[in-house]
Amino acid sequence: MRPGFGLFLGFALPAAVFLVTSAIGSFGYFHFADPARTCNSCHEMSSQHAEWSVSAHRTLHCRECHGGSLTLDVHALTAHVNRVVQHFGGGKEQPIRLTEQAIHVLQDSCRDCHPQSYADWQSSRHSAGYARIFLDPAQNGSEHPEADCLRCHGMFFDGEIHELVTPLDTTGPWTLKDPAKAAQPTIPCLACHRIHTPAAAAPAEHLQFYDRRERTAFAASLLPAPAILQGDRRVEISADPRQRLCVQCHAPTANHQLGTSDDRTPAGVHEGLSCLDCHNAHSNSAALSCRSCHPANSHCGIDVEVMDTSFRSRESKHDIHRVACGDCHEGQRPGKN
Amino acid sequence: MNPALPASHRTAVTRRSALKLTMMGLAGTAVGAGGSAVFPWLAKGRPGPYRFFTDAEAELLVAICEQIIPRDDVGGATDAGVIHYIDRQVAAGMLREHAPTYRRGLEAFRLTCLAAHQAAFTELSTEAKTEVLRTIEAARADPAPWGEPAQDAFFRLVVDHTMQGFYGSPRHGGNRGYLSYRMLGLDYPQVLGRNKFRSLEP
Amino acid sequence: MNQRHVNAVVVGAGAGGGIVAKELAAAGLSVVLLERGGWISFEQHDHDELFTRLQLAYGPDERHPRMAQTTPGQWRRVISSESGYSNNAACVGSGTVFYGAMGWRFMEQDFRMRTTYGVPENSTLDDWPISYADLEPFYEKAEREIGVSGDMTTNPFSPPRQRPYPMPAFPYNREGRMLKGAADRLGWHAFPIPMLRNSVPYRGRNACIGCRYCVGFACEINAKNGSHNTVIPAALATGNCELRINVMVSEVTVDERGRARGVHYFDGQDQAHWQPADLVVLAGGAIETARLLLNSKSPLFPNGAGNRHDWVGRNLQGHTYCGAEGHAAEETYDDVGAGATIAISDFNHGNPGVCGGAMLCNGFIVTPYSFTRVRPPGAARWGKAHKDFQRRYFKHRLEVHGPVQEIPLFESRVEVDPAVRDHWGIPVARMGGRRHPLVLEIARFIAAQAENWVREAGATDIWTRVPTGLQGAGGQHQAGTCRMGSDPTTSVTDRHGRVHEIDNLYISDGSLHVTNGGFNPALTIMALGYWVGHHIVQDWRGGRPR
Repeated sequence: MRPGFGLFLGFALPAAVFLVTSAIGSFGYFHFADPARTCNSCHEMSSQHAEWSVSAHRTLHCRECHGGSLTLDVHALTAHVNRVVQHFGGGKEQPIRLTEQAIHVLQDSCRDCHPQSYADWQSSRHSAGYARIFLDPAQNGSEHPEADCLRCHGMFFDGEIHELVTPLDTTGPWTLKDPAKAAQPTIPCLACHRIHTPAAAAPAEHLQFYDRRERTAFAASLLPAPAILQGDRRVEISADPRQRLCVQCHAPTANHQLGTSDDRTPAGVHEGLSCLDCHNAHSNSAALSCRSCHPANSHCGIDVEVMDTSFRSRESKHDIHRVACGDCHEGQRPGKN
Repeated sequence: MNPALPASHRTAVTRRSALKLTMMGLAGTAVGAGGSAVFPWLAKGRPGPYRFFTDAEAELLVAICEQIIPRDDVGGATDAGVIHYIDRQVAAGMLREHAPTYRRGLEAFRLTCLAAHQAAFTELSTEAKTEVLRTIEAARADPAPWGEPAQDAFFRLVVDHTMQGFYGSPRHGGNRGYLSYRMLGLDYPQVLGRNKFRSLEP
Repeated sequence: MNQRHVNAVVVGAGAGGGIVAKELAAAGLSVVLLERGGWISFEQHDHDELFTRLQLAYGPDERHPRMAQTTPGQWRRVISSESGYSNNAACVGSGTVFYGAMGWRFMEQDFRMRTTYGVPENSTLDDWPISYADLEPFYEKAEREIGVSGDMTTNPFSPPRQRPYPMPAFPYNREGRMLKGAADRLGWHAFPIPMLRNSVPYRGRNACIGCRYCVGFACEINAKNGSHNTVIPAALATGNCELRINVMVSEVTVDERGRARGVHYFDGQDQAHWQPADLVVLAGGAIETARLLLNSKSPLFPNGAGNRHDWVGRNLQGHTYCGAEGHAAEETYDDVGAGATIAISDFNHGNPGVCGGAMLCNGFIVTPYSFTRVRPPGAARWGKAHKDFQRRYFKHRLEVHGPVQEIPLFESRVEVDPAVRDHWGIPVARMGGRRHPLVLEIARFIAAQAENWVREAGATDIWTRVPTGLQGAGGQHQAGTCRMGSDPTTSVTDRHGRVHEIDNLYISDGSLHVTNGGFNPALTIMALGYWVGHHIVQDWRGGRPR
């Protein structure tokens, strides 16, 4: 036996085995032990843990959504180790939050238990990927990508806009710096859903808006309910707190005039309705919405689904959100004359 | 492997090595898991919610801040978590440089209060607390315990930091739940449309 | 380390330097643009009020101390987040990244103050060597290339202009509409403030969305126009301009024949470099440009480059802000930013018995923490009274103020400190002197007009803000320290910004201002950038200026 090999067999190899297995033992402990003895032994985790322990998801172990310690995800592992080093090293406190990668992994867990909601969401524009949002020539040609886009599209993106898409101008051609992001959804489940809310809380408590700047999720019930104005008139708004989430992105311009920018607040015949009275929460589809309220015919006797509105055709100039009887029927009620 | 050794010997070496490796493996796993199990106790080396202040200092500072922005029909400094803003920023943030000022200033404040009222600040009535603060603000307290910082300068500093903790962004530790924004009637996050893009796709 | 020789080196990538760099690069000169800060992005600081108010968010950092005057003859060491520093940011774009972005032209009288008013006692008040008419085409160029939204049709005091603004004016906010009615009743001539901010999409960038946070913050949608998002990218796109960031220039070298040879600077790793060039342009702002000249000693100029007659650093001016504020019964706050929308120019000139004046305008939205510092004299700063004030006034303010044009004094100046040095061992700037006593009279007069305006608009419980002392030259909008003039014995540069006796050394920033107008000076600094750049290019004959 060569002496070098003997040394290897007698000392280095056992030492290596010891190190590797102690790491496995350690990560294994974190993977399988009660969260109260692992994740939740850090005070930073206690409020999250307390919320989770009375939530609808309390029967799921942390690792079932967040992934366990026994993982080959190098990013997750280094992030965790860095946090521990920073904490005990007395460095500047970093808020604990999920990386975008972790959020996308988590999303698979959502899908496994909520396949129908997931499928509905996938069918909607809210599932649009980074390529669809940030490489659209029509959009980029009129307004080039800005940091602010990430407020509603890609709110969890870990980086700045120049790290996502290039060039930041209106001439293009535009490409994603990481092609793997092309199909990743820009509005994942966590953009709107609050997972740790107590099971018994009101529906709006289970919804949230994730504000990228504050790195904070606001429960829908705490979001502002803005006044929407039509001229000087204050439009009647549904009391449904869930729709405060919608208006965060589908928002009017600064003067809050009805229908400006991306505002879809209903006025006209539908004034006072909640977004969710007509739209399916996940698919956004309003295809069945008329039938949920109207008998086939409106009080004027016309089938509401064939009226000339944007419900029937996107080309119509009568936006279903704001259409009023008088828009089509001047001073009279057709069918009754 | 040394081909000069008899085959049985080679096997024995291999078996012994394997046994040793297995033992090391088991020991490693045990140490790793055991070490992790001990981990939570390591973290509890310094109990309490503060990173810089002692519990006694924090209690005093909370009482001062609550006088600076008292609770009425809307929450005050305590409700907004102003102490957590100051604690975090003094420990390792934007107010690091004021750490010695707080240590000395709070001690001088404590002595001032004891000398004047024979009681801790936290035990005084609201009127008496206000009186103590007005005295220090006007630099009319006995200067003996006060060197650097001077009493009025220290009070101005605490007032300013209380305002920062009450009105600044919650990301720095204070203004819990946007308490001050709600008090002022400021929407957050602001409802503000960006553009009127309509997709060309159907 | 010796850098490759270039045609021009420009020191400072702010309003003046960015424009000169672009003008020279577009004309085919090889340009190196040096900036002591780096690029700022919105996401670094977003709308975090505490960070931008308390930290050195836009620089310069602690390595750049200055000496601020405490009492005459006494100074203390300050860094940029402390009062007395007279900061103007250190980053690509400098103040134009986060300013309020008012885009004013000075008026015709502002260029001939001595002719209009005579010389007040002890002052160095003078006429500019150029007229408004000389600068008008360059104002226009600045308004078009950088981008200004405005409409002067209701301002009879507006100086003559050849073409309208390239973008329509911003509408008045709620406070602005109340002030408009009041101005009409008073017979004053209100108009929308011209803004270096897009009211409509312009040159490939967005229109302003009216967010709550403007002055003090980088723009989240890039609708605020500065040199960082207009001329500097354009300069880089020519391929003739190289921008070097995080570098600190220590000295301009002037040879025995009186020609600038280049600059010495330190890079981000503190390595020393030598950048030779055919010509040198200084655009570090009124304080740093003066400091650099004073630190550039040579046998020909033992007291600093261009300082043969002791005028470098003299006549330091800023603006003396004053105004009035009161409480309105109805809400004036409409949450539509930037807030400042309306102005009058009725009191810039022609005021009986006073020398100059100021425009008056309403203010930008004041964010909650900053508002804790807005108080009438003697008001309680804490306790229930503090909270009540916040609630009563925050959404009910009627407030107007204006930048009073200062009267220059020879003794108000930037010097280099004999002992204190910065991180690189370069002597630091120290500011000293006072304001002219007449300025307080003007401020009181202007504040009285402000009070009339807010009272007419319905304000009660009004208080006025007028400085009480003469301390502290400089402050906001520093200017005047290398004034242009025709007489080399009483000025630092000629009418084209070229330093007297050093044919290839130019200045392009607020230092050139002979007087500082009763307006925010950004657009004038930009117009001067185009003016100086135009003349450099005109004189350029390849290899060296004529």
